[in-house]
Amino acid sequence: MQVVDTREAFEEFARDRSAHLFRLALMLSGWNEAAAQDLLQIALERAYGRRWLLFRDGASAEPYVRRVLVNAAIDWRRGVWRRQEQPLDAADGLGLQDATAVVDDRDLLLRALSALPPRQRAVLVLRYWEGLSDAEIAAAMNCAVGTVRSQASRALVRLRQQAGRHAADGVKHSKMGEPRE
Amino acid sequence: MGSSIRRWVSRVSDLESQLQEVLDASVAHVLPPFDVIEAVQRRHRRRLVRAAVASVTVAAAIGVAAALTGLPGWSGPAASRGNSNATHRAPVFPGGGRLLFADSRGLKWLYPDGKAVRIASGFSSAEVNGPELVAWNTTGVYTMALDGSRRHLAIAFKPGPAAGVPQSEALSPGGSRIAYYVGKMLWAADLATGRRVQLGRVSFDGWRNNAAILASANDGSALLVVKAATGSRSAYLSVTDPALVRAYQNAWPRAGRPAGLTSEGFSTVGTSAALAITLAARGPFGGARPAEVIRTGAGRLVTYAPATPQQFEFSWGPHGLFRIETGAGDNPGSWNAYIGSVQSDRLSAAITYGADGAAFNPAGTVIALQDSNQVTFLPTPVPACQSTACLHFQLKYLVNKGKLITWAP
Repeated sequence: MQVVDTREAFEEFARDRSAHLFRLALMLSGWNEAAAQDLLQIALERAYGRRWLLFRDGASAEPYVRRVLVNAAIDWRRGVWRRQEQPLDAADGLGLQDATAVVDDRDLLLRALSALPPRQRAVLVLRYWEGLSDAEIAAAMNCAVGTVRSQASRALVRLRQQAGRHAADGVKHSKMGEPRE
Repeated sequence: MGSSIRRWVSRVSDLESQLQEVLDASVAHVLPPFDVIEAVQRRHRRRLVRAAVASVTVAAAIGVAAALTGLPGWSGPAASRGNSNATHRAPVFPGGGRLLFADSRGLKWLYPDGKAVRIASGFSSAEVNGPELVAWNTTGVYTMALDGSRRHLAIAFKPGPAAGVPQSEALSPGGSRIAYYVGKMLWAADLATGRRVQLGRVSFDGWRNNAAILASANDGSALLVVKAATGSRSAYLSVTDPALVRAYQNAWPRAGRPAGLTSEGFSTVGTSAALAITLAARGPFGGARPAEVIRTGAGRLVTYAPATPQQFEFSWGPHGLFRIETGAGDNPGSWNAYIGSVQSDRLSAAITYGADGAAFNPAGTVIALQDSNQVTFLPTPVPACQSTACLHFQLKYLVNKGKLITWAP
């Protein structure tokens, strides 16, 4: 019988996947780097604590870690950290800010994503960045497939509304003497 | 101007196709700005040691009361020190005694009258050992009086990054040895002689006694006893132990045999020691259907298995009291705590506080539950309180920065 050193298996997993998981945590947290660091540690610490079950057969621990990440991001420790829904203007510090103040579509979309409720953002990130099926997303979020689809639909509607409103605000600001293009 | 909106509206019609590109770009080349493995293992060891601290320090604290009364220079808690304000003010927390906190500035006692007394700056944590405190920081382990005076360096840690930073210190039940990690290596040091022994890469579960450590095998198949003086190891308990398997299957009849075990160490109950063992079956996301099996000094096995416990943590309190924390669906927002006693096979109703730690008062009648900077005080709930005394009062809250370490007399 092969004996697996589960500690080394965990370390190998963490070395290989921590960059990817940190990126996922960053998006799930609404591009809040401090929160993403904490989320990654929460998820990996859970996996480390259960390494003797997660890694003993050489199976991938990623679904487990992803599941912890997603749920921790949605509801972090019973409201100790509970993100309020942010207005678009509050979503500063994103990677795609345009220094010339020209309305950039990618920037708008990212700001709109960061302003989504955490559950809706998680569905979009898992579907469009992780490339998961709705069934896999449902497993990760501990909910029904129908819930995933309704959350995705609402999120897309909301993205259109919010980003469109932001573009319209850009028009209003421009009319007040701040040309945007 | 209008073209901006039109451009946006036309783009959002293929919004879904843009999402992947935007998300990719937002995190391209981003890497974690810290050593992930080290940070995770440090966090894990802190949690393991917290359970040991809860059992060892509270047990030690029980013995402090008698010793304190005869201790020269010690005048007792603030409420009994002739503080005229204190005698007229409602206590800020029930249960008596005093709380030890560690924050970025060091250690401090908090008394029921609200008075906080800083006793040792620059120390990250400590344990109460009879009439003295054993405290540590990156330079070494120190013994000192409970008020921070008469400080003595017992173990000096080697300075410099090459030597590594000692972490997750845990004092033995009699206070004569301390265990700690440097990197992945577990060490044990004798506080009287300063002699250190490297115990290797084992997972510390708690002290068995002053001379030996209880550790769990990396594959979860067994508990080991590691001698602190020599590092020699011997098997202690296997996951296939028939009595353990039966106890587990009493709680989860359809779960099959347990796939792994770990331990939260011993606690003194009366004149004997009880051992807490966590068993779990194999599940799709790791451990499934965990249960806590406590082996009492008389050899009786008691099993506790709260509903939907995908997350499961156990910590000892005084007088055979304990706390189990669980979460459903790996969602930390759903965590609940349950209080139990080895003298009852039933747990309390779920309590929704204590995500960041807990401590019982020495009498075991009140529990302090920490969530970030808030500490919530509850009477020890039924049926666990029937082994101590059942009090009745409304929840009390205290906002205080720092990590709650222990509740001493």
